[in-house]
Amino acid sequence: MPLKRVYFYPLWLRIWHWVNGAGIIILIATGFIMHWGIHGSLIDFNFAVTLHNITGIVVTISYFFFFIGSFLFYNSRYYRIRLRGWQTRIYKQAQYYLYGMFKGEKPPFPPTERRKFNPLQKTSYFYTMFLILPLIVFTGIGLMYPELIIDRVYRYNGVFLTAMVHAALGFLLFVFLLIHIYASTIGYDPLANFRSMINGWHEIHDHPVLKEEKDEDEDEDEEEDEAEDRPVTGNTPAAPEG
Amino acid sequence: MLNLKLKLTCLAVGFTAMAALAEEPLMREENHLCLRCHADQTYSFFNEWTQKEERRIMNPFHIIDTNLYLSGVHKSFSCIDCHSMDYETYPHARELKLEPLATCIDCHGGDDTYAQYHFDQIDADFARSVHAVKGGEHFTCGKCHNQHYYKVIARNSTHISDIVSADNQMCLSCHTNAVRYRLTSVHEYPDFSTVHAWLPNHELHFRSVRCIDCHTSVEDSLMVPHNILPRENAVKNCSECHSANSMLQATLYKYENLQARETSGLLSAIKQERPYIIGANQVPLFKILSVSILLATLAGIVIHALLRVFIRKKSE
Repeated sequence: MPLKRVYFYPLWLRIWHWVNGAGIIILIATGFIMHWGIHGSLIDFNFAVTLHNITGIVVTISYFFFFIGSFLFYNSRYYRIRLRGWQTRIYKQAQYYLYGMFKGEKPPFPPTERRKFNPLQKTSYFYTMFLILPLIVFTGIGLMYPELIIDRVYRYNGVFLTAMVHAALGFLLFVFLLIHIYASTIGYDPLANFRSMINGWHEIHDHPVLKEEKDEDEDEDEEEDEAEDRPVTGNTPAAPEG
Repeated sequence: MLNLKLKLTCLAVGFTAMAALAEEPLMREENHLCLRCHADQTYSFFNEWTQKEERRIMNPFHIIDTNLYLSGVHKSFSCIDCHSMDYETYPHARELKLEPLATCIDCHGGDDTYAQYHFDQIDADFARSVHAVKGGEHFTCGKCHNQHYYKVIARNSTHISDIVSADNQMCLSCHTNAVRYRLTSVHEYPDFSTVHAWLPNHELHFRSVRCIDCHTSVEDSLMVPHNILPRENAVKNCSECHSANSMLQATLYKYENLQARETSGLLSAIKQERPYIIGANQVPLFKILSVSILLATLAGIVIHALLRVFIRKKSE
C-alpha cells in the first residue's frame, strides 16, 4: 500500500512524452537507415527520408510545446541544477546504481512531491532537453533547408559538419533512450514507472523521511533545492527512474 | 636609398606585367576580320545597293565571346580552320549556311596525338546513347560541346562544383530550353522540374551531382561516359548513391585530380571538396566510436539487469 499518490505527470506532459518518445524512436530508426545507407530493408530509403522529415517537424513542434509548458506550469523547476555539491550528489547516486542497490542500500535521493528526479536523472534530462534536443532541431532544420547552412567553415564543408553533429547527437539521444527505458524499470516494481507515465500518478511508498517532509512548503525555492538534494538515510523504497 | 628601392620595385612590376602579357593567349591575326562583326552585338557594313554605311543587329547565336574563346582548347585556331574561307567576303554567300561543320572525330579520330582522350571510344559510347539513337545525325558533338569555348574541366579542375556546374550546363542548355531542345528532337519537350519532382531536394542534387551520374551507365575506361541512357533506365534508386558503396565513387569521384586534394587523417572526409551525401560519407572514427559506445551501453544494461534479478532471487 503506497504512503501517498502524487500527481507527477499532468496530461500535457504525458501527451508530450509519448508523442516525443514515439517520434524519437522513428527518427532514430530512419536516421540509422539514412546514415548507414542501409538498403533492402523494410523501409525504402526515399520513404525513410520523407518519414524522418515529417517526424522531425512533429518532434520540433512537440518540443516547442514542452518548452512553453515547462515554464508555464513550473515543470522547469524539476530541471534546475544546484551547482553547490553537485558532484557529490552525482557521485552518491552513481554509487547507489553501481553497487549500493545490490547491497540493499536505499536510494539517496528518493522522489518526493518537490523532487521528481534524482541528481543523475536531473543532469541527464537537463542536457538532453535543453542542449542536445535543441541542437538536433537546429541542425535538422539546416539539413532540411541546406541553403541555410554556410558553405564552408574554414576548410570544412558546412553541410558535412552539420550532418556529423546531427548524427552524433542523434546517436547520443539513442544511447540516452536505451538507458532511459532500462532505468524506468528500476522502480517499486519494473512496470511502476511506465504505469505512472500513463495515468499520471506516482506512488510513494512507506519512507520515514518522506513522512517528515510531506508537509513542507513547496514554494520556497531555496529551501526546496536544499530539500531536493538532501540525501536521505533509512528505509526507502526504490526511486522512480527513467 | 628609398628612391632606388622604388625604382627597383617599379622595374620588377614592369617585368612581371610584361611576362604576364607574354603568356596571355593572343587572338590569331586573321580572326580579327571575322571578329570585327562577330564579337559585337551590332555590326556595320557598306551597302552597295543603297551606297550607305549601315548598322545591323548581330544574330545572338553568331556572337563570339573572345575571352571565352581564348580560354578554350581551340584558342589557337583560325576561324577558317573550321569554317569555309568564303566567309571572308560579305555579304556571306547563301549556300554557306548549308556548310557541313566538322565534328570532334573529324579532327581527333584515329589520331595518336589525342589518344589519351579516347575520342574513338567516346564516339562508340555516344553511338549507343539515346541522343544518337533518337537524334540521329542531327545530334552532333557540338550540340553539347561548344567548340568555340570548350575547356577540359573534368581532368583539370580541383573543384567538384566546377565539374558539376560545367557538365550540367551542357544538359540544361537544351533540357531547360524548348527551342534548343527541338533542334534535335521531334518528341514532346518534357518539363525538367516535373520529371524530377520525385527527387527530394532536387535543386541541391543538381548542384551536387552531374546529370550524367544518373543518366549514363558506369564506364570505367572513360573519364566521362557518353552513353546517355533512355529515361526509364536512369538511376532512381536512392541507395545507388546513398550507401557506403556509393556508385559516385566510380563516376563523379573517380578523378585523380580531385583525389589528390584529399588528405589522409581522421577528418579527411569533412575536409574534402565533396558535398555531403547522406549514407555515403561515413567517417571511420565515428563508426568505431559509435559501435563501441553502443556495445558498452548494452553490456552495462544487461549486466545491471542480471545483477538485479540475481540479487532479488538470492534475497527471496
